[in-house]
Amino acid sequence: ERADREKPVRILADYSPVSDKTKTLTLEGHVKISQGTLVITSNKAVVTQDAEGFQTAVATGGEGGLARLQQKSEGKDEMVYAEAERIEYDARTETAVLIKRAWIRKGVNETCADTIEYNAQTETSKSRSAAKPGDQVSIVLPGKASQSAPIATITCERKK
Amino acid sequence: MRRLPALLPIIVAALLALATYWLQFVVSSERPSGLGNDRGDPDAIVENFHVDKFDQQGKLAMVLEADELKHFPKDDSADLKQPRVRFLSAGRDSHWRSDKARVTERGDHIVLTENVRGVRVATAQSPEQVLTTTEVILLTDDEIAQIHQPLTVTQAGTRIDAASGEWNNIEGLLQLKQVDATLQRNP
Repeated sequence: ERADREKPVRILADYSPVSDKTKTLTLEGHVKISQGTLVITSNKAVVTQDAEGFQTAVATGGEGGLARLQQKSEGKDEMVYAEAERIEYDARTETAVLIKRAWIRKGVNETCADTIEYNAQTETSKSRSAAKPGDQVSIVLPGKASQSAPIATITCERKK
Repeated sequence: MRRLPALLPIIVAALLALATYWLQFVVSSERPSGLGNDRGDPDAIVENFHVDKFDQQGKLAMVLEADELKHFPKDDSADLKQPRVRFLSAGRDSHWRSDKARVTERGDHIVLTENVRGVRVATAQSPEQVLTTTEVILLTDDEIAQIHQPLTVTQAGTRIDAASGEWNNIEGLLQLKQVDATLQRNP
């Protein structure tokens, strides 16, 4: 949601070394970063900030080796869910780059790829897959007819 | 009455044993003469106490001040009122204060208690950092603060609460456990 960016960022973790030298906040163990409706969870995260406060978070690892992100859509009672081995979130541009085993679901639309770049401001995403045979971006857009009917559980081909 | 002479030596021996026991009791319970030696009695009380500590190069490394110092001879420790500790050498300029402190190992080990506040002065690259808690163990030679109590660290718009931590002023490293941080977005 657009209002998220004005909210303070809350961070929980088991352990955190804060270094003068690197100007970063490293977080380890049960990491949860939340700002309004945006929530990022992972095993580890590195948060950078500057004079304006929170700027970027790089989250890695989590259950099944995946970091997770969720955020409420603007003006709709709809959530965006995303997962990847690495999530790079930039608060200034409000974009999240999902890297490796990337998956995103917005409403009923799902996308799997090697890399997905999701822009929370425009609520659009760009997906790329490594140019290896058999690797494609997999997108599932349920047809109009099935919009009201229960949606068959079609999921992306997500590589474990 | 005829048996009295036979019992007499036993009675005398018993009396002697009692007397010896009484004498031992008196001697051992006697308060040590002169200054009281258990920790309850200081041998020196100093008001407006100030100590400068220098590093091997002769540079001022630490300043320890207090409104009052009480020194205890038994374990060579001291209790301070309103202590103030300042580090000036290798690490960032930083200072600590609290309501009370206990100094041991000739000042290498200071336990600050009650309203403890530590400040690392702002630099060009980093804003002032303030740590508040209820008890801190200061290892003065290494400029390390060990905190085994809940603490709060604030820096610019960031506030970090933690269950425990360690602050190394020379390395510029703050290690915290069970972290709950809030980062403000400046308008």
